[in-house]
This record gives sequence, structure tokens and C-alpha cells, in this order.
Amino acid sequence: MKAIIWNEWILLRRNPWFIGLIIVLILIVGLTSYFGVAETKKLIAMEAEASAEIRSQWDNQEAGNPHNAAHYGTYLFKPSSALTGFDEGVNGVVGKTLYLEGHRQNEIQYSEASQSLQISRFGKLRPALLLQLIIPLLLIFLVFASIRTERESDRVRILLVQGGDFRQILFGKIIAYWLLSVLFLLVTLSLQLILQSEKLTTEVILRTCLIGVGYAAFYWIISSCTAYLTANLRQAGTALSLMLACWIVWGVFLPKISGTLGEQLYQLPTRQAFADGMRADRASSLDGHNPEEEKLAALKDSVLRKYQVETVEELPINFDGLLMQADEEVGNVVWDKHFGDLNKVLRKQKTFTQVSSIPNPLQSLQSLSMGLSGTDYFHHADFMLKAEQYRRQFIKSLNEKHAYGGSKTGDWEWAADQEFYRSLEDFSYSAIPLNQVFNILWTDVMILFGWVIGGFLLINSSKFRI
Amino acid sequence: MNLFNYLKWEWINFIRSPYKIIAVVLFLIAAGFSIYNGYALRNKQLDTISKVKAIYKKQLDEAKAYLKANKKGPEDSPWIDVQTPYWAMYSSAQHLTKAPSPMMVFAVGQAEQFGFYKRINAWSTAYDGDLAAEISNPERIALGALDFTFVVLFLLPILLIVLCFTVGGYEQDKQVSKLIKIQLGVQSPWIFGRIISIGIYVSGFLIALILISALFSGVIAEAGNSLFQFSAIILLYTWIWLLGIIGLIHLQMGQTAQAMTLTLIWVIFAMVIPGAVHQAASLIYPNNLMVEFLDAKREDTEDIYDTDFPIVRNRVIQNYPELKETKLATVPDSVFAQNLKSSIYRTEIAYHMKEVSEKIENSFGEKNSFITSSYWFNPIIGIQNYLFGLAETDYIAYQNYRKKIQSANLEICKTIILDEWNEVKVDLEKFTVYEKLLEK
Repeated sequence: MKAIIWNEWILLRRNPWFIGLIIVLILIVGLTSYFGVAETKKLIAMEAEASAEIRSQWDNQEAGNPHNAAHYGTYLFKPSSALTGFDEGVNGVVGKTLYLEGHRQNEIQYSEASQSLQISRFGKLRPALLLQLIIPLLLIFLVFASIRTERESDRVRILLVQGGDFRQILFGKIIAYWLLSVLFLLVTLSLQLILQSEKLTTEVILRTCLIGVGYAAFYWIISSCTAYLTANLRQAGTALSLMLACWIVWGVFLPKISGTLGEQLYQLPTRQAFADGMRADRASSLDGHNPEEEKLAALKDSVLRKYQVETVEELPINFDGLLMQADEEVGNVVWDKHFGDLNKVLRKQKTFTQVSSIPNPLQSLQSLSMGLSGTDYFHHADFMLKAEQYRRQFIKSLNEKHAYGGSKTGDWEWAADQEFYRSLEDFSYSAIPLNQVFNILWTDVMILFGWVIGGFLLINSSKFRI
Repeated sequence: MNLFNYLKWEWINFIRSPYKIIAVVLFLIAAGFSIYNGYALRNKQLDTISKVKAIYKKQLDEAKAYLKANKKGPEDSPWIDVQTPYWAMYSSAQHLTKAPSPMMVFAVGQAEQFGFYKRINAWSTAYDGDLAAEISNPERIALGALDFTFVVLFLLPILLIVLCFTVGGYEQDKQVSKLIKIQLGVQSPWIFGRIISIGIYVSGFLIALILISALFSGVIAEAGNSLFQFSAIILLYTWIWLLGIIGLIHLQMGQTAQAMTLTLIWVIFAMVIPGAVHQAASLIYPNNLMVEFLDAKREDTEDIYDTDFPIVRNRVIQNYPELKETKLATVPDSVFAQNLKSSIYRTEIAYHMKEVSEKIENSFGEKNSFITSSYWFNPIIGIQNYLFGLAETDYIAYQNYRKKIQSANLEICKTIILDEWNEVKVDLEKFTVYEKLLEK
């Protein structure tokens, strides 16, 4: 088999057009990696600058009432993951700016996609796009051309007469071109690591390696399917047409169809319906018959009992702060319920698209690539969740200062000093650890693995037909 | 051979080629599904707008009821007084919607990335959280909408490649080119004849598809002119691809090489060039985090509030000279009531927000100029955005909507301040004027 692989490479090396193509492709891969990383670095710098500015505004605010500060709020900027330069995932469409304030949870805003005319339908020319669509296309052409030439020139007969095994010949050719595609992969991923060496962590290196394994598996699938069809179909043109059809259906057709179908099967509420639902739940919690109202009354009673006074005005603390926090907690319960429901629908949609990618390994690869790059929906949802946890802590600190800082009930003029505001911790985000990412992506891994095995079996079942 | 014979030959060729039939069926499924998507999205948006308007109407009726009963507002909110211009305007549920155009059926475009209804008050801006896009699956949005424009601009060329797969290359591979040359003198008329026949079939198929969908969705009646332009551009686009294919066939490469080359051309124009332009645009004009807007909303607003009243008052009078004609125009600053002072500050803030918004929109404009300047080598995206423009589902349509919101906010502030300075007490008649303020 080694001889076959070596022979393929010698043949390729002798073809100046091919060498030219490889050089051009390596250059493109290099440039896309460079530009992808450059944009990510620019974004990371902008995010850091914006965060610092917002934090300095917070730190330098004048002494004021903590509840006013809760309304003033703060902004978070969703950090770009180190591998955004490789696969942008959903980052281009979800926005980066999130306003945190008291009483309500806001949506992340100002996506890049909403700031310009539509520029492309397949995303930016990032390494992921090249490696998912362009390299496989090249692989289809190369594997097809190699096996077809072998068949048309009848050289395969000579090899068989000399004692060669047809399956071994196929495996040899597949491995030769698979290794070539892995070369592109290695160049791209190495560049990703080299270009952002200052941000490298074990987690990033591990994620990059796993991305490499996923793509390598997909290239194996593409190579073996093309080899199988070219070797087994009488008409060479039909084999190529079929593989090109697969490429189009896998890369262009099915992802869009399954995504849209998933959204139609598991429908998300409209923003208005969602807001109405939240509003209704919050309104019902203020109803006299509602336990939430009782909860507030119970809170008042318990506080009065604790401090052994008759009215809130007699309290040594500010009851308004406690009320604000109680109201906040009611709001949090409502949010948890509604966003929980929303997340369930989105998870169902994701599961649907994952399962619907059984006939489409490229879709599994895309999901895996986004997931490992930290740019899929789950990473986005994780950021939103952690931002909300921070918001709750942040507002709670302000409400507690309002309650226990030294003011009395009804005193809205009381001001907490600048030191207090400065003492509130800033938000810092760490993405989902890799082991948890696999809980989400195991379906994609299994589908790719199944296809790799399928590829082996296909080639193993190939027989030379005259 | 006459055209009829070519048409007959291609038809026979088509029905005997299972892979061509499969390609057409797949294209038909994609087209049907995409049109259904557009139709469903439009109906969903229309439905949402009508629900939102019903809510606004309810709020409006409540305010009218207070005015009829000569009440100031709800008893548990004593600060509300619907007889004052500010609260009357607030209670008149001013809003602006961007109704989806009938052409959305064929071009969803960027519609899913923007909000399309907004209640407007004296504090509204075009970048408020309530103008966010509808809730959707970001992974699906990142993949892009499967609309008819995508099907035609990106999938149709592939269908043409499949349908023209055997033209020229087949003759080359089977070495019947010479026979054709003997019969026709040159091979060109044969190639032209075959491609024109395919073009006629495809054009007919597209027109039928568009007409049937337009009839069922009501687009013909509602947007006949845009539909005509849309169809004409699509047909032109189809024939440009066919011309390119004819050119390539003349290179006599053989079936496989021809298909490979056409696929590569498609990859370059559909993926590589748009992707490269997208990457370059993002690198030069990265995602705006809108810090300028956030600063304007918080820091600048605070600065305005910290500015002395006479200065702000003069600035507002400069922007709205009509104020000089009001009852309070000559009243000394010290006599101004707090609510009237607030009104001055509010109007100044609204004016400042408009200026900041214009600045932000201009920075987006630079990115858009960069994108449009690439159309000469990025033609598919150029055509796509033109079609989105026809369907009013492109960035520009939503930018215009944002501009309207910003202007509406200023109009509201202006009306409030003019009425306040004229010491208007809002009654039902005046309230009706407010109600119709944004209709013009």
C-alpha cells in the first residue's frame, strides 16, 4: 500500500498544474487563517477597550442611591473565543452588547449582520468554510480523477495481474489524497495556534486538535465515498455527478432545509407573545390572591418581627431595598421559567438538526466545528446564562446596600459612596469546559464515526468490475 | 434543425436522464419550500403587527376613557396626567411598524435580523432593546434564510450545470463533434441550439413557478411592478449563466472537465468572492459595539442635564424656532415650572440622540459603500441585494425604518414642547390629533 501512496504522490508532484494549485490553496488557507485571527484580535481588543470604558464609568459614578445605580446598570460585551478566527459560528448574527439593569433581563444586541447589507450567503471566507466546502470539493475531483485514470488506462488490470489487491489499491489512493487534505488541515490549524500564541491554553490546543480529528474524519468519508462510486459505477461521469450532487446537497441544500424545518416543527414564540407571557406571569404575581403577594406580605411581617417594630418606617434598615430584591426574585423566577421554555425549544431544534444530519456528515462536522470553536448556540446560551447570574448578584449587592447601607425606608435621597460601587466585582467569563461540550456534541461525533466506519466497509466491499 | 427540433431533442434527453430529473425535482422542492418560507414569515409578521396594534389600541382606548371621564389617569399611578401633553402623548401609544412587503414571499432577505414594530415615546431611539429582531435560532440564522432569491441565485446555476452537463462535452467524449460539423458546417449552432432550448425550458419553468406562487400569495395584485422587475432580473441572470456555459463549452474540454470547471466557477462566484469580501469588510469595519450610542445614552445625557437651563433652552429654540411663537417664549427662566424644564432637556437629548444616530448610521454607510463597491467583481451578491431592495427586505429598508423612528421621536418631543409652551390642556379632540401624529 505504501508503494501506491508513494506512487500517487510522485504522479501529483510531476504535474505542475497540481503543484501550482496546492501552493495557491495553501496560500489561501494561510491568508484566511491570518485574516480570521486578525479580525478576532481586533474584536478582542475592542471588547476589552469597551469593557474598560464601561467599567470606568461605573467606578467613577458619583455617590448615589443604589437603586438609581441599578437602573444605570452596566454593559457586557460578549467575548470572542480564541477559535472565532477559525469558525465564526453564530457570532456574526447574535450581537455582542448586553445591557444589565435592575428589574429586567435584556437581549444581546447589535449583531454585525444587522449593521450592513448582506455580503455573503455562506459566511466569511474563514478557514472553516474552506475546510468544510472547498477542500472536500478538491478531494472529490482528485480521488475521482485518480481512480478514473486508473480504470480508463487499464493500469488497474496490470496491478491486479501483478498480484495487487483491488481494495488495497483503493485504500492506497484514498490514504494518499486523505493525507494531502490533512496537510491543509495541519497548515490551517498550526497557523491558528501560531498566530495567537499569546492566547494559547491547554483547552485551546485540545479543542484545536479535536477539530483536526473531526475534519480528518470527514475527509476520510469524502475520499472513501468518491473512491467507492468511481470504482463501482460503470460510467465515470455518473460517479462524479453523484459526488458533486452529494457535495451540493450536504453543503448547501440540507443544512438550510433541516434548519428551517426544525424551526417550523418546534416553533419559537414571537417576541410579542414571549413578552406578553412574561408580563402576564409578573402581573399575576402581584395579584392579591397570588402566593407572590403573600410572599411579600410575609417578608414584611418577618422583617417587622425580626426587628420588633410595628411599621417599616421604624425599621433601622431600608425596607425598600428588601422589597426591590423580593421583586427582583419574582422576576428571576418568571425569567427562569420563560427562558427555560425557550431553551427547551432551541434544544429540540438542535437535536432535530443533529439527528437530521445522519444522511449528511457535513452538517455534523459543521456542528462539531462550531461547538469546538466555542461559537455555537450553546456557548452563546452559556454566556447569556452566566451574564444573567452576574446580573442577579450585581443587582442583589445594590439592593442589599440599599437595604442595609444605613438609610431608612422611604429615603430615596440616601447615597452610597463611590468606594462601594468600585468594590463591586466586574464580570469575567470562562467558556464551557471541553468535557461539557461533548455532552452536547456526542450525536455529531457518533454520526461522523458511523460514516467513517461506513467508508471503510464500502471500500472493503468494492470489487473490480470490468 | 429548427428550434422546435432542438426543444424536442432536449426534452427527450431530459426525460431519459434520471439524474437531471432528480436535480429538477430537488430544485423544485427547494423553490417550493423557500416560497412557503417567505409566505409564512410574511404572514407571521403581519399577524404580529396586527396583535401589537390591538394592544396599542387597547391602551389608546383606556386613555380616551380617562379623558372622557375627565380623569387624569389610573388611580394607582397618581403621577400620570393624560390631560398634560407629555402623558397624553405617552398614552396615545405612538408606534411605527414596518409592514412586510408582499415581495417578501420571494425574498426574505435580512428581514429576520431586524425588528419591525416599535412603540415610540419621547425617550425612544432607533437602537432600543424593544426593536430587537424576533426570537429565532441563531444557528439557523447564521446559515441564512432559504428564500427564493437564494434558490435562484445560488442553486439555479447548479441546476444549469447539471442540465448542460452533456452539452458539448458529450459530443466531445463520444467524438460525434465531427459528425455534427459535417451536418451543420460548424458545431456552434448545435451548441447554441441545445443551450437555448435548455434556457427556454428553464425560463418557462421559472416564470411558471413565480406566477403560480405570486397568484396564490397575492403578490401579483399587491406588487405587480416589483414582481415584474424581479422576474426580469432572474431571467437575465439565468441567461448570463447560460452564455457563460456556452463560452466554456467552446473550449471543448469534455464532459467531466467541463462540469468541474463550471462547479469551480460557481464556487468562486458564490462562495469564495462573497466570503472574501465579507471577511475584508469585517476586518476593515468590525462589529460596532455601539459604545458611542451607549455613551450618548448615559454620559452625554447626564452632561446635558448638568448644563445650565438657559443654555439648553437657547439650543432648543435654535433647533425649533417655532417655540418663539409660543405663549411661554418670553417668560423668564426662573418662572419655568420643573416639568417644562424637563421637557426642554428631553428635547435636547432627543436631538442629540438623533445626531449620534446619524453618525452611527454614517459609519455603517461606509461599510455598505465598501460592499457595494465590490459588486463589479461580486455580482451575485450585487444582484441579490438589488432583489432584496425590491422586496424591501434589505438593510436599507430597515435603516429607513430606523430613521423614521428617530424622526418620530423628535416629532413627539417637538409636539409636546410646543403644546406645553402654549399651555395646552389635552382634551379628547387634541388627543385625536396626537393619535394621528405619526400617520403623516
